[in-house]
Amino acid sequence: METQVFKIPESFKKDFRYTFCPGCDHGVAIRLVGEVMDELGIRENTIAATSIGCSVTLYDFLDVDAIEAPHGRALAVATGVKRANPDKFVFTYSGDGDFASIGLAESLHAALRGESLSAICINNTTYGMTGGQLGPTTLLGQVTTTSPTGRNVEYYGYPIKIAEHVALCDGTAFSARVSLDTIVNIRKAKQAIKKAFEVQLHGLGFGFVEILSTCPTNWHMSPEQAHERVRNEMMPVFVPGIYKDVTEKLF
Amino acid sequence: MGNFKKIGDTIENVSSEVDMSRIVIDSEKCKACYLCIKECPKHLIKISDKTNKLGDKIVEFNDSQNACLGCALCATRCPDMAITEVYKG
Ligand SMILES: Cc1ncc(C[n+]2csc(CCOP(=O)(O)OP(=O)(O)O)c2C)c(N)n1
Ligand code: SF4
Ligand code: SF4
Ligand code: SF4
Ligand SMILES: [Mg+2]
Repeated sequence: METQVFKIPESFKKDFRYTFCPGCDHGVAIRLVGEVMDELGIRENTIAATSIGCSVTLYDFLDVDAIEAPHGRALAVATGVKRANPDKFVFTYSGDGDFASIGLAESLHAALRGESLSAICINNTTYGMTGGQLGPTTLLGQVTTTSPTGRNVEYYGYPIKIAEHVALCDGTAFSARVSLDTIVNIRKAKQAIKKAFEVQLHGLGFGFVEILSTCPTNWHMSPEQAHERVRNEMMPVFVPGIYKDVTEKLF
Repeated sequence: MGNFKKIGDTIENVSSEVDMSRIVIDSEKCKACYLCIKECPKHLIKISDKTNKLGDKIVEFNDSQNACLGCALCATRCPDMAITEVYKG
């Protein structure tokens, strides 16, 4: 007898159609969110606070209630949603620019307050939606439309290591960085998303996952070359791993 | 080669009855990124002559030897969930 080993997650809208460029890892990340929601059985109880960036129409893909936050304010909006509806599962999904540039204060203070929220940040080292400008995670030497000779420390400073900063916040229950460059790492990414969701469900505090992702369009690379860049250039600087996990002491 | 391909198609179509592992590709969703091609350990996914709305050549599953493992590596990689179903026989 044949068994189905892969299907589109139930948490997706039936007629969804991703609007991402070919080969963009945003699609994999959102699929993992859907798979985790299926496994935890939380779709009907979920409210998403969505962000501004290439994932702006997240609510067109996932079959959940959603509220669109202004650029960078996903965690502030999510805080209000969760405090008004403490029984709901509330998560955010933002880019690196949204989470760690314009929204850095909102994001880190949500972690410092230990808000019972789960946050996903897609680190593609650029502002994808607006055409590939320098962002907070742009690597040293990286050429973007606003750093045409490459990011140098003297002029632009250093890229931020988001998962480490979130881990330093006392209200954080779980903070990890994962990559989508290989199948093994995609599986690890799913486990991390699940953990970041579970800490909220158990009332342990703020759950966070930074996902190293590709932007083939603005990197001017093929989707395959983009994964090589994640591996060779991003992962040595943004080292994948679990930076905080309070459940280690609990179970 | 033309005939050979036809035989492959037939086997693919009846494969559910004889419990062979297989995948289903939604040609409307495929954006021709070709990431799945490298991922398949059995090299069963190839660029086809069919095109998507943008005119890019989408991929097809061709398994005349019933070699598919049902491993879902292709679907795990596909960023667009264009590989909508994977069955293990
Ligand atoms: C207040 C405000 N400032 C600027 C913009 C323009 N803007 C739209 S998306 C974006 C950056 C998105 O980058 P990121 O969050 O990294 O998401 P990505 O598209 O890379 O996934 C900017 C600056 C905006 N929409 N609103
Ligand atoms: S611009 Fe970059 S991040 Fe945005 S959809 Fe295209 S590849 Fe993905
Ligand atoms: S399920 Fe595995 S063997 Fe079958 S087409 Fe996909 S990658 Fe190839
Ligand atoms: S990975 Fe998906 S979208 Fe890309 S070529 Fe294969 S089936 Fe098409
Ligand atoms: Mg970005």
